[in-house]
Amino acid sequence: MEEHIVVFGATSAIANAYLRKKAVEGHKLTLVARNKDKLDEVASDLRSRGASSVRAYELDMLDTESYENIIQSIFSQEVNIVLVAFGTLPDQKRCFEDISYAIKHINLNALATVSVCTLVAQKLKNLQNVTLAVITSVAGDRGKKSNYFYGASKAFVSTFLAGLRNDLYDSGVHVVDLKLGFVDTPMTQNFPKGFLWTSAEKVAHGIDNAIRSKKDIAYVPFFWRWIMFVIKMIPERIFKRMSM
Amino acid sequence: MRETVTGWGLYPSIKAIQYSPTSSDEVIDCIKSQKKLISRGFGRSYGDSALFSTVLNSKHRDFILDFDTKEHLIKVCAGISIAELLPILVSKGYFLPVVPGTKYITIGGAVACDIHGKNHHSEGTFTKHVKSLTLVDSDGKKITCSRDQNSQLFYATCGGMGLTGYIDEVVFDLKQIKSSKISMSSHKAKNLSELYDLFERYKQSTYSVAWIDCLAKGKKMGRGVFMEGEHNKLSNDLSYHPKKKLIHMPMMPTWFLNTLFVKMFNFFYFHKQFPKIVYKEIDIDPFFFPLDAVSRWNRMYGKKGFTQYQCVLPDPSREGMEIILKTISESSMGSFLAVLKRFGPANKNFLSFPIEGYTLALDFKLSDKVFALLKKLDEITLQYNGRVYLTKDVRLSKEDFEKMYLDGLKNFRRMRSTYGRKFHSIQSERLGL
Repeated sequence: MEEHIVVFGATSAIANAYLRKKAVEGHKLTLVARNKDKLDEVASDLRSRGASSVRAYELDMLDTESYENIIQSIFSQEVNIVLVAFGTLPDQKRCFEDISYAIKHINLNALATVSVCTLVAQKLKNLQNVTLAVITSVAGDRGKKSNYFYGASKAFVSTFLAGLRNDLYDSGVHVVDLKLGFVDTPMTQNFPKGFLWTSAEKVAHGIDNAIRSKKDIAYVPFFWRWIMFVIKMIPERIFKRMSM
Repeated sequence: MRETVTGWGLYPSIKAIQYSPTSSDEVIDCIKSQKKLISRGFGRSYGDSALFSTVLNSKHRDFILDFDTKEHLIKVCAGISIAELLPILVSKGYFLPVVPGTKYITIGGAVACDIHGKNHHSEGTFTKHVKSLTLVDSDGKKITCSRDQNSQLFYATCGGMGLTGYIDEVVFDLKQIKSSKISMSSHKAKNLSELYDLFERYKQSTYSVAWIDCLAKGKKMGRGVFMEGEHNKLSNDLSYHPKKKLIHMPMMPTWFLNTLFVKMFNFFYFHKQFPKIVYKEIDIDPFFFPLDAVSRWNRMYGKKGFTQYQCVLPDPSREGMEIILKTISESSMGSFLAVLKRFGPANKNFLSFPIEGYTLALDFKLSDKVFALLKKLDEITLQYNGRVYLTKDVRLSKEDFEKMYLDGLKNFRRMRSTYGRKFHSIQSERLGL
C-alpha cells in the first residue's frame, strides 16, 4: 500500500538513507529541509529511485513562525508517517564557553523539535493509524562530560515523547522514540570510528523496522539498549569520576 | 583527523585528512580552503592515483539528479556507484554503457580513469557515452564541459585521473536491455594463438574476455578460457537480485599466495570446464563482477599488498604478447588473476589508456623482485609501442610514462596547469603529470 511519508530534516544522511529505502518501495514523500540546493538534489534523487511523488518545502527549523503554514499545507493531504530527523551535534567545549552558541543548538535540538512534534501531533490526532517517529540519541540516557549539552537536549525530547505517547494513545497515534547510537554521517565526520559505529543505511533499516513493528522506544542498532542499561546502572558516585 | 588510506592494492599506505562534502557548495569551499588535494571515490584504483595527504571524498555526493527514460540519459553526482545504480536501472530495462570488473566504483572514478569493460572492442570506453560533465576547478569555479563546450577540458578530464578538478556531475547515455540475463559461451583454448583466434572469431560479440594461465610454459603458454556474451534479447525478465556478500576475506599472511598454490588454482580453473565449449545463461553479477562475490579480496595477498600490471600492445601484438607472457611465466611470479582482452580503437582523450590491440592484466604480490620484473615488462611494452594503465599503476617511472603517453601529454599538461593546479596525487607527483 502506498503511504505518504513526511520527513523534517530530509537532507540529513540518516533521513536520506531512510527516504531512499522508501522511494524504492514507491511511496509518496514530502521533504522539509533548510538548504534549497540540497533539497532539490535529494528530491530529484528520490524521484529517480521510484518515489510515486516527491514534494519539497524549504524551511529553517529555527524559524518557528513559518512552521504553521507549512504543516497546514502538508496536512491538506492524508499523512501516514512523520519522521522528525533534523538536529546538530554541537561542540561540547564551545557550548561550555559560549552560551549563545549553546542556546542556538539547544533551540534547534530541543525546542524546535518539540515544537514541530506538537504541531504535527495536533494534526495526527484526527487521523487513523499514523506514526510520529523522532530521532533522539542514546546520549540522552545519561549526561556525561563529552556531550551533555547535546545529551540534555535529546533527553528533553525523549521525555516529551513519552508524555506525548501517553497523551495520544487513545487517539491511536503511534509515537516512536528512535534512540540512535554512533552513526557514520557527515555530522560525525571528525570522530575516530570504532566497532560500535554503524552506517546510515543500516540505521535506516532499523528505523523502518521500528516504525513498522510499532515500537515505542527503539534503540538503533539494538545493542545500544544493553550498553545504555549498563551505563545507567553505574552509581553516580562512581560515574562522576569516570571519563566518557 | 588523519586516517590511514590506501589504494585497492594496499600499497602504499599513507595518513590523510579526508573531507566528504555533501553539497557542491561544500566542495567549492573545501577546494578553496586547501592548497593541494586529490579527489577520491571508492578507492578501487590499485595504486597511488587517489592518494594524497588531503583527500576530497565524493561518497556523500551520490544523488541521481535526473533519470530521463525518454532520452535514455541519466545525470548523477559523481559519488554514486555502479552498485547503487544497477538495481534502479535494470528494473527499468537499462544498463550502464560500460562496466569494469567490479561494481564498487563511482561514476566519477569511471570518468577519471576512463574505464573500459568487456565491450571495449565493440562499444569503447565509459566516457565515449558521457554527454557532459561538471567540474569544480582549482579556483572553486564550476565548469561544464562536453565535446562541444570546453572540449579541451573534456578530453583532459576523461581519463585525466582526477587531476583537472573535482568531477561533480556526469550526464551519460544508458543502454537499453530486454533482460537481466546474459547469454554466454565459454571456450577452452590450448595456447595463446587459440585465444587470439577466438577473439577474432567472436569480434561481433558485444562482450568478450579471456582468462590466462600465466604460469603455463612452452607449448601450453597462454592457455586459457575465452568467454563471450550478449544481453539476452528474448526473455523479458528484468529481475535483479544481487547476492548479499557472504564471503569476507580475512587479512591473509603474506606467504599464503605462493607459486604452488597459484599453479594448483590455475590447473583446476582450466580443467574445471570439461567440454571445449559451454553455453550458459547467467546473471549480471557473475558475468561482469565475479570477484565482487568475495568482499575485500585484496586482503588475500597479505598486508604488504599487491599491484596489478596492465599493459596494452597495439596491433599486431602477438609477438610482443608472447615475449611478455614468456617473461612472466619464467619468473614464476604471476598470480592467478590474469586477463587478456581485445581493445577497439583509441579515443581522443589525452590520457586514455586503451589503444587498438590486446591488453593483458595480472596481479603480483609486491616484492623487490616483482618491481624488477615489472620494469622489464615496461621495456618490452615500450619496445612494442604499448603503454600501461595508470589506474593500476604504483611504480612506473616518469621517463617510461612520458614515452608511453607522449601524444596527449602536452595538451593534458596545458589543461592541468589552467584548471587543475591544486589537484595532486602521489602518482601525479611521481610521474610529473
